[in-house]
Amino acid sequence: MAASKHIAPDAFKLAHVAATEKEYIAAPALTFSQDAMRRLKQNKAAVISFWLLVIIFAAALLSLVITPHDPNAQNLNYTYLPPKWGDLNIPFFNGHENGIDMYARNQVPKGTYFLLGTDYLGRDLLSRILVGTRISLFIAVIATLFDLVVGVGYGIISGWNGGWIDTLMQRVIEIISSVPNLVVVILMLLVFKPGLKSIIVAIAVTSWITMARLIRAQTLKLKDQEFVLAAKTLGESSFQIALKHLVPNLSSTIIIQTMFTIPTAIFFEAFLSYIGIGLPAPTASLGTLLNDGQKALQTQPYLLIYPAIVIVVLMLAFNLLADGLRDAFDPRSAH
Amino acid sequence: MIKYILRRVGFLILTLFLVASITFFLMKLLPGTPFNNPKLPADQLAQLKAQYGLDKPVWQQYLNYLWGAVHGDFGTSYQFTGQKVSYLISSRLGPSLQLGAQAMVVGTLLGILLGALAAIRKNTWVDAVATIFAILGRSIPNFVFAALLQYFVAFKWGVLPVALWEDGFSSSVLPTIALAMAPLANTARFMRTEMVDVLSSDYIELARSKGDSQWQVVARHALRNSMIPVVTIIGPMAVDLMIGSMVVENIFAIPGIGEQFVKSITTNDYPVIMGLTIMYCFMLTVVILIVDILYGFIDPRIRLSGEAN
Repeated sequence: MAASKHIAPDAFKLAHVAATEKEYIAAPALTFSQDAMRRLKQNKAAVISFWLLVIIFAAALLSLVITPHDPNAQNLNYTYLPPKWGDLNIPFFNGHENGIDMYARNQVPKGTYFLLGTDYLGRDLLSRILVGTRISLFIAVIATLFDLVVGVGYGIISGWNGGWIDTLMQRVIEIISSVPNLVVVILMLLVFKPGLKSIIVAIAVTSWITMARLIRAQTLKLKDQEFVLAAKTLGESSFQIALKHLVPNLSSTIIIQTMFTIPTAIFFEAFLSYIGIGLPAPTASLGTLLNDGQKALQTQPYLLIYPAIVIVVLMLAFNLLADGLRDAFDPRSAH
Repeated sequence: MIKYILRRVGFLILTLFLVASITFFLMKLLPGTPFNNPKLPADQLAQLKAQYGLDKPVWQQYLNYLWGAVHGDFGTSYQFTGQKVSYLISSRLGPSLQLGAQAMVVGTLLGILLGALAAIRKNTWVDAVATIFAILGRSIPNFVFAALLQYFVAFKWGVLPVALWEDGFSSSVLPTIALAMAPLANTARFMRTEMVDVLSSDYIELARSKGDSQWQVVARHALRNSMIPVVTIIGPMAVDLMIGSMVVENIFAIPGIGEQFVKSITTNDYPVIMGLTIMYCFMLTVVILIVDILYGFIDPRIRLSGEAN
């Protein structure tokens, strides 16, 4: 207080700031999605998961062209060979089991290696895991499509129309969801023959329910807002409004929910194949591999452990990325 | 409230009726008959069909089935000759219910504890560990977890029984852990979000400014208020448990209804599949109804909005 008395008022002078500089905004304006991407990139777990998924997708796609061995080729001389990584002598990956070199005992020619070992029919586990992952990812893509087309469509129609249409559509959803969805799937698989097609039909019946519910709730909120009213006044058709005004505003819900559908679909396939009504032999999928591995668990645990690692990593990556996307697109939920 | 409950019970009955009808006609759609042995003479085939009531027109079979189902009679198993489906189910309900209840209690209690700890120690290593735990619980399929538990804990270390249901409580420990992982992870995640919300609210601030210790704040105010919404996820978790029990019971060879369901699927034992489907539906709808009513009692706001509908 005392010091301030000694400063003369004329010691201050106005700084000159150009009018243009006052209006200048240093940070670029971000759109909603740019902002979300920025938040997503700050989330390390989500970024790592994203790149992991890219690698897994690439490896699975590559298996269309090339695999280390033929995934379905049986060779009864090579059954239950432990993993061997060339001549590198790494424990668990040197082709030894209980101290015996299984490759020498089975007279495997030099230069033939099975990086993750072989199963009870002498099939290469790594090749089968690659092919199996591809099937799981394919099912994930199918489930996503149904989520986007049926789930979003159903939700918007139900929410937009309201009235008896909405009531009827909601009752249908309530009935479908009051049966555990796996029971629905299992009933479907009994009617159709087990196989990829039946799994897809089963997923088509059940996977979009949550999406439809969420989208309906959001649509109900959106349809009373001014921009929708404006579009109506301008004479746009319901279809145009849905496509041009509702879907963009629903995008974060759609993205987040899709990311949660995918792990569920992967789990479904694995579960069904695991209990023996999914994909028929000899097709490899993560579920059938786990089922085969379970049978040989006490003697060749690696047959269960490697597919298990793949499915856990896959589920983990999708879940973490989904969490990251939710936090990025809906910051209020993050805390 | 009574009106609301009645409406819900009515809807429950309608749902069960539809599910029973749909399963019945799906089963009728299936190609072939259970008696497709070509060596069977025609007269014996006719006798068998008459015995199982398959000679009557479909609508009559349907009405008979519904009438039976209302009285708890779901017909006779194809797989186990002469065994009543209702007997098969009721004799196997015990282990499944015990496992389910244990897993639910263990899962929710530990989940609440873990979620609350994570929220109280937000952004510390406790939070990180709890989050990792919750994510792993969601990401490891329960059958993989069950198989690994069985291999390492029971087979390698020999701590607990490998399988079967013969050593009383100790044989239920591993399956319970395997089943409890999913509810644990879900509850922990949900609880953490709720608790973080509650801890930053005004009444917590007030309690703190009155001079309550951290422990008092958490025990008296935060915990109770964050636990209310957790009730809502009990329904979906019950579904997870039912689905999980199918494989977990299979892996541990437990004589429950989940194991029976999978066995019946692989042997095409349609009456048992139908009976169990309706059973699962019934249990699920009842659990959800109870949860909704319970929630109405705990949180009056929900009750009001339920009646307004």
